[in-house]
Amino acid sequence: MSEVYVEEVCKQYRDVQALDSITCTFEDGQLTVLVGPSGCGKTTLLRTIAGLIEPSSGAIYIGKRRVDGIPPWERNIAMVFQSYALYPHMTVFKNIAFPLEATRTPKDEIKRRVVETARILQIENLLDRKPRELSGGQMQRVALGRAIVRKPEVFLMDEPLSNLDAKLRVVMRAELKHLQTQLGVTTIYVTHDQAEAMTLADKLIVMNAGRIQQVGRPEELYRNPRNVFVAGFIGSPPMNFIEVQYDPAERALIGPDFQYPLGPRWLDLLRNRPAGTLILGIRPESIQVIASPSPGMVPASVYVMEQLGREILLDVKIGPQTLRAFVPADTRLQMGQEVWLQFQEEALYLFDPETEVSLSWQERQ
Amino acid sequence: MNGELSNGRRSLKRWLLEGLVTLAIIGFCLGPLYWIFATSFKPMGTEYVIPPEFWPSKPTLQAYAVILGIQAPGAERASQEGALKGTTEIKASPHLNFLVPVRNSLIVSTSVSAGALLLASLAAYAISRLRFRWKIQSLMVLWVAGLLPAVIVIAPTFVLMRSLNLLRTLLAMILPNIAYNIPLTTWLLAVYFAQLPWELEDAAKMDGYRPLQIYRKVILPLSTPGLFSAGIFAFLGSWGEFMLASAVTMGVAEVQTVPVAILNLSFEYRYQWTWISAAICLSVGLMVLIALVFQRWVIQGLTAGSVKY
Repeated sequence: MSEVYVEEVCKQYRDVQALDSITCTFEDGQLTVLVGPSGCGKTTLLRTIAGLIEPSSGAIYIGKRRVDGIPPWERNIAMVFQSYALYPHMTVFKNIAFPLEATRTPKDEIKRRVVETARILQIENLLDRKPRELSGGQMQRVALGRAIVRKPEVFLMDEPLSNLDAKLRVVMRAELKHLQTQLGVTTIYVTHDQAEAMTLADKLIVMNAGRIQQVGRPEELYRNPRNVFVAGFIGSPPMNFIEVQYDPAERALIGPDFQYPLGPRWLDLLRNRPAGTLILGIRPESIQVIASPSPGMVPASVYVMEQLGREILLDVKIGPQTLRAFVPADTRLQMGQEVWLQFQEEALYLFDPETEVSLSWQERQ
Repeated sequence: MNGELSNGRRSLKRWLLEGLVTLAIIGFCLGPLYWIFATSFKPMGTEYVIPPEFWPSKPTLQAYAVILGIQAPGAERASQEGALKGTTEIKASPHLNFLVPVRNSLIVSTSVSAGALLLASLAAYAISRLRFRWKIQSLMVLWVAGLLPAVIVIAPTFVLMRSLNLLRTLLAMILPNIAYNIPLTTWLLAVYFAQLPWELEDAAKMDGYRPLQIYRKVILPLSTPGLFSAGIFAFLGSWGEFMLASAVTMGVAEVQTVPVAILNLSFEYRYQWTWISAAICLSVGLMVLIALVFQRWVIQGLTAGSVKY
């Protein structure tokens, strides 16, 4: 069990910068999730830590040991693959025993540890089967077994749940979290699914275009995203964005079809800013939808209603822009009906349109 | 109604025609084989009987007995025509122990397949997994090398074997045949390896194995069907190889392979067709047997390796 430290790691493919000066720490015993859209470099970073890809520059440490340049078979890292990558010609027992055989562990010791691992994962009755005789969930458990049997310093998991059906994924997610906490092994987990990332992570690292966008605990990233990308990526459905004009004279934001008066806190934050364009962000759960107008509210019309059971996800139009908001499940609304939106000021985000950085990020930290 | 009928007639006519053509092709291919098969059971001297016998009236294993050296040639006739005993008896010769060329051929073909598989599988593994400069070009060269007719390389190979002092040995057939078989075997295996998932190798690396260990413990076991089919190609190819074998054995019976032995049998005994047929049947029969046994493995392997992806 060790901390993993990645320092200034770059990976350059012919004309693509897959990793752009990545520096980050994966704390000892914690589950850190690398999350981002496909092609953001998260898997490249994971495979670089694994040793399956050599970085173009930079250093990787596991504990105190520098491991870049050391082949993967000497790094004492276990990895779970998206496709499980079970050896089809071996039984479940042999699959789980395979990493132990590499280290010339005595036979009875291998047997003891494989059986113990199988018991933890509840697959003792499958030990004689071949991978082709297993269901997706069972294969997943065997793949996990193969990773944990060796008691490695670090676990790497590359979208391990994405081949499971939705229901099983939620079950395995919980089991994985439990198992990781129980074993206390430093774990680096890659996913493109922000919900999975939020539920599993002790710490989240959001990546995009080969760079780290933000690092923090899940609720931190949700509450205080550093930029438009993180704000739009974390949370489901994603944050709404509207382009607005800041007017210091009016002390308000001017939208396509509305005017939003700013409170003292925002005015204080914006006091040195000239008039100009800003990006306003508001989460769907922070919008209140009201059927009759009152001052300071934003007029909109109902576009689509999606009944989710517990609540209704509403798409409303403000001029050409579409926003999403939640209303209680028993709300009676009709398509095209006029409604008024109230933005809770403390849940408002403003971003610089050039840098896309949150104007309140520093303050909120 | 009328139309349907004529339609039916047309398709019947068509069916008959197709059947006849198919039968003709089958007859053309299998006819000679059948004739050889039937001849091998005829008593010596009856192969030229007119009208021709499609199946010997008195089938006998005499020809097999003779070429396997169990029965001395001419013994039967001698016993029938007692007076001529001793004068017409054909002197037993080393060419009449057909088990020797069969053994030689088995040694040669087995070594060739093993050798070709070993070298070609390593090459194919590298080709399927590594990126290197001139990869496509080197593959094309390999392919062209495989297309070269044997006649072109026979003289240099002979000279090479002579300078290595290997003439009149089995090695003189084994080594060049390995080389001849490498292009095709490499291509077959490279295609096979290319479709094995890379992640298995990555997984094995993470599990603590080095590339050569991965090759032995993961790649080779998963490639049994591919290895068997490529191996059968090499085996059959070297089993039937005649030109080189005829050149490098230089008439020494002890090292001749089956094709050469059959030819010598023909020369030495003025075309004793029953014997030649028996020899051919033995050779073909053995091949069919081997192909059948291995085929079971190939099919078994093909259905065994699947993973959910």
